[in-house]
Amino acid sequence: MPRVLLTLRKGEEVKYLSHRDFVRAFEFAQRRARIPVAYSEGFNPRPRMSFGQATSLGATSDDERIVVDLTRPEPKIAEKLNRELPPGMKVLSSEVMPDGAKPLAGLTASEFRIKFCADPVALKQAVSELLAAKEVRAARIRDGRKKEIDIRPHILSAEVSDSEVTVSLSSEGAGPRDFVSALAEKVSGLIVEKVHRVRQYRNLDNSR
Amino acid sequence: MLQILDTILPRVTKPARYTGGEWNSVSKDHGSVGVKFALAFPDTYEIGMSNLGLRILYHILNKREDTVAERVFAPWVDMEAEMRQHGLSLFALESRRPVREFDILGFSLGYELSYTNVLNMLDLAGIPLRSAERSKSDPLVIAGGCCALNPEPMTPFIDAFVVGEGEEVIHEIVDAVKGSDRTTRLAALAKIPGVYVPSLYSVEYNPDGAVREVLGPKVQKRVVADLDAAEYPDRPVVPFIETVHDRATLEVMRGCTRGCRFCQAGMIYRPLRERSADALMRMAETICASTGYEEISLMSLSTADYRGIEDLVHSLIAKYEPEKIGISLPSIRADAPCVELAGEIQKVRKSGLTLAPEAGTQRLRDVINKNVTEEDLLSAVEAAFRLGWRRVKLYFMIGLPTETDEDVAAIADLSTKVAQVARQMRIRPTVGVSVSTFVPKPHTPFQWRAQDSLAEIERKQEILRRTVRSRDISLSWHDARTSRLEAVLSRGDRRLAEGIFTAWKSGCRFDAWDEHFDYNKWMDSLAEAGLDPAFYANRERPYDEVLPWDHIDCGVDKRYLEREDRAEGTTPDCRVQCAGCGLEVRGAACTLNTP
Repeated sequence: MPRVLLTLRKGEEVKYLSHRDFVRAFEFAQRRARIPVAYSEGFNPRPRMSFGQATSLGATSDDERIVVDLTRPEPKIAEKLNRELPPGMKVLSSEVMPDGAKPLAGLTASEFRIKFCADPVALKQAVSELLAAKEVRAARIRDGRKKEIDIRPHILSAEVSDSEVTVSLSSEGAGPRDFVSALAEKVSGLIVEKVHRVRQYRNLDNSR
Repeated sequence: MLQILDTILPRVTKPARYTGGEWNSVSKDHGSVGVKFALAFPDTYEIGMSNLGLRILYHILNKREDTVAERVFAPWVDMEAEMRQHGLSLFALESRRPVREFDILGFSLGYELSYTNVLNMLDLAGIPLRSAERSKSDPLVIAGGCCALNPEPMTPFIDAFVVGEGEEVIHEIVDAVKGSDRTTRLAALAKIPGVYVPSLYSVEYNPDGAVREVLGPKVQKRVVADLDAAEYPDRPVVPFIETVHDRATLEVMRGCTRGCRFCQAGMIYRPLRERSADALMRMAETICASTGYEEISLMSLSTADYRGIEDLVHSLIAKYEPEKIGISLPSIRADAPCVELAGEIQKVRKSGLTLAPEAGTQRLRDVINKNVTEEDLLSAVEAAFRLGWRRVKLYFMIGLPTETDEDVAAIADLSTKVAQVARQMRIRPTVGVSVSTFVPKPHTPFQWRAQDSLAEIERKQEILRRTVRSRDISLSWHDARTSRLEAVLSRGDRRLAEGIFTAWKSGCRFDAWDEHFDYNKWMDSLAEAGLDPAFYANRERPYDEVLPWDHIDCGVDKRYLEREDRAEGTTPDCRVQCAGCGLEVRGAACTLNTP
C-alpha cells in the first residue's frame, strides 16, 4: 500500500482554521480530487490518514504534514489536490515513503518566524535576555486558571532581525504563544503582527 | 480592517465563522456589478449555513452577471463585543465590505426568536433600525422565509417582505432595484406579486384591541410551479467549520399532504411538488462532485411520502455505497416499513431513531390530525430495535387544544410501552421523550386557539414527571417560556414591534439560545411598551376576528382552516382524498387531484 507524505501550506486565508477544520478541509479536497485513499476496515470505515503537530490558531505555516495511505500509486497527487484545495491551502511537496515508514514520528521541534510591531533595539535586548536567563516564565491560561511554566529548556535558538524573531521551539514544551507571552513581560506594548511556522524538524540530529 | 480583524479574531470563539473563503464561495469585483446583495441570516454561521433557502438564493444571485451576493451572519456575543469596542461595522464574509455599502440587505426569517438579532445586526451595520428613518444611501432592507407569513411584528424595521418561495421573485426584485433610488424602488417592489411593502398599508384597531382592518391589497404567496425546472445550487459552499446540517442536501419535494392541524410548514409550503428521480440523481452527482460531502440527506417535510422513495433510495445506495457516501432520511414516519427503509440506508446506528407521535392518546392524535396509531408506533419501534437501534427518541407536545390530564399522562404510558417492546426482545433501550409546548401558528387550523398559560404548562409537566417511572425513559423539555414568547411573536400585530425594539434595547439577543434567553427581560420590555403578552398568546380568538396576517394570502383558504379546526374527526391525506384546502382551484397549484 503506497504511503505518501504531503507537506502543505496554511496561508493567510485559512490561518484562523483550527487544526481540526484544516484537516476537514483537506479531507473534503481529497474526496473531490478522487484521490485513491485507503480506508480502514470495520463498520465505519475511515480514510487512512495521519496528521502532524498542529499549528496554533492564527499562525500561517509552510510545513503542515499529512501522511496518506493509497490503494494504488497516484503520481499526480499534489497537482490533483491543488486543484481542489481552498485558497490558502497548497500542497508544497509530496514524497512516496518506503513501506512501514512513520515520517511523522520524531518531529520534535519547529522553527517559527514571528513578526512584531516593536522597537527593534528593545526586541533584540529582550531576546538576548531570554536566552541568557536560566529560567523563562510564561503564563498560560487553561480552563480559566492561570498557570506559569518554565519554557527556557524548550527555546532551542532565537535570532532577531529588525522586528522579526526567528525562534526554534521544541514542540512538546512550548508554542509560539508561550514565547510571545514571555517576551511581552520584557517589552512593553508588544504587538504580534504575524506568526509563521517555517519548518518542523527532528531536534536530535537537527535535520529533517 | 484586516489589522483590526487580526487583533480581534484570535480572541473570539470559532474565528472561522467570520473569515469566509470557503470552497465554492463566490467573490466578485464590486465595481463590475450593478446590484450588491447581502444575504443575512440572524443567527450563527453554523445555523445559517445549514439553511437551504440561503444557499439557493446565493446560487441564483451569483449566477447573474450583474449581481454579487455575499453572506453575513449574526456575530456571536464575544465577536459583537469586540466589534463594538473596535468600531468595526458589520461586514459581509466574502469581500469584508461593510453591509451598509450593499444595495440590498435580505434577511432570512425562519424563527421568531431571532427577531432581536435582526435589530442587532442592523445596528451593528450602522443602518437605521426603522424603515422610516433610512435615507437614500442606506441599503434596502428586505426579509423572507416562513416568518414573512405573519410579518406584522417586524414591519417597522423591514422595507419589504417577500412572501413565499424565492427562486423566481428574487430576479424580479433585483431587476426592480437596479438603477433606481429608494423611493421609486419601494414603489416598484410593491408591484411585484408576493412582495409586501408594509409602509404602504395601514392598520386600524377595534376598541377591544383586535385588528379591525388592514388597508391595502392582499399579498399572494409565490410558488414555484415546477421544482425540476427551478434553479438549484449545484456548487454549494462547503463550510470550514462543522455546521448543523453537515451534508449534501437533496430537496426531494416541497409541501406535505398529511394535514396535521398544528403544523405551519404543512400548510404554508403547499401545494405538494415532487422532484423527478432523474433530476435528483443528477443533482446528487453534481453536488457530491463539487463539494466532497460524505453524506446525502434526502430533505423534505416528510421524505418517506415521496412517491418512489424506495427506488430512489436503492438507486442512490447502488451508486454511492462504493464511493463511501452515505444516505440519510431526516424525517421518519412512525411505521414499520419506513423504519425498515431507514435501517437499510443507515448501516451504522450511530444516532438514535427519532419518531414523532406528538400526542399520547388516539383521541388527541385525531384532534390534531396526526394519523399515527399506537399499533403503527409500536411496530415501528419493534422494527427499530430488531434492526439494531438502541436509542429511540419520541417527540410529543403538551398544551394541544382539548388536551386533558389523561392525555398528558398517556405520554408516559405510550413511552413505557415503547420501552417494553424492547424489554420483551431482551434489549435494554434508551427512550428519549422530548416534550415541547404547543405554539399556535398563523395559517394553521389552530391559529385561533389559545396557548396554555405558563402555570398550566408547568402543571402538566409535573404530571408527566410524576407518571414517567421507567428507568429506560429519559424525559426532557423545551423551555415553556421560550414557547410562550414564540406564541406572542408569531401571532402578533404591528404594535408588537415596540416590544421587540424595547427588548433589543434592554439587551435581548440570541433568544433562541437557552444561555442568552432572558424571559423576564422580555416580559418587562413588553410591559414597558404597553403590551400584554396574554392578549397574543393566551386568548382564544373568535373565527370572525380579523387576524393581523389576513392580508397575507398563503394559498390555503381560511374557510378550510376553520373547517379543520371545527372538525370532529380526522381528515385523510390529500393523496387519498382532496380536503379542499383551496389550492386545488388556484392557478399554480396542486396537481394531486388532476385526473
